[in-house]
Amino acid sequence: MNTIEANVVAEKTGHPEKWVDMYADYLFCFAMTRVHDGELAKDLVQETFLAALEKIGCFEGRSSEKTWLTGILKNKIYDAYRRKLKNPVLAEGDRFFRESDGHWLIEQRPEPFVPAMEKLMETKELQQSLQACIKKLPAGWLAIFTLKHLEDQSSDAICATLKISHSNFWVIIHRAKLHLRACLQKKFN
Amino acid sequence: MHIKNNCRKATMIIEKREVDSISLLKRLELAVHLSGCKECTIYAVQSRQLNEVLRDIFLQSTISEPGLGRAAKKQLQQLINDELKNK
Repeated sequence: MNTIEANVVAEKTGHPEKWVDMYADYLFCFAMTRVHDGELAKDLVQETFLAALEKIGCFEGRSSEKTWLTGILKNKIYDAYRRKLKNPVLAEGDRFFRESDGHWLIEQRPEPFVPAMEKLMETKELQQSLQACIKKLPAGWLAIFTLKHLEDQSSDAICATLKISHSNFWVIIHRAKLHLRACLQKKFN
Repeated sequence: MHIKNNCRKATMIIEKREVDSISLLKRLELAVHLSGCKECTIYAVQSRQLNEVLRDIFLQSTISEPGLGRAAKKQLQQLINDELKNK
């Protein structure tokens, strides 16, 4: 068998003994940017390799090994999102509006940022502050933003992926934005 | 849904407007609310700007993550070797 033929065979059967060297970093980064949790990302990569070993017979070389593994990882990530969305916890200050009429509570009223948002957007400071604010949100909520920005999914697709209702989707977006804006106002006021 | 005096509902519509299209009626209702509500007007501007920064943050994170540590990789390799042996 010449080298080309050998490569074709290897291409079709995959080479799991090389997976860690070839794909572990890539898959870890892929998971990290989507779950923002090192331990969880590591677990997901491990689960991916184990699941892939289980069904290596199904890998027929139609896609590249990397694409195939990434596909398995994606499903693992979506499972993790759905688990997290089942019990969204929120640390502090959940109330923004008066119960009676829906007006802003006095202490929650939006004010212009100082310096103004336009100026802040040119700096690194705003991104760093916002990243800190994002960390305070329930992990499941971030799933929505990740799917929207990284996977470019529509609202309908996001609801289907996460198995949530449209009204739930909007409640989460609304709450997340209220929290992030309030968190930034505390810093730039 | 009457939003004339309700900031909770108005801010929800502001968020929907940013992602999907909203009905003409909703647009009018929102315009009436915003014309009389300073807070929600500030919210609407900041919310849109916030979306831009959020998008940048989520897109940037793809390039800034370091890889998996050496110890973790060794552990993974061991696991795979064991699994392959048991096959």
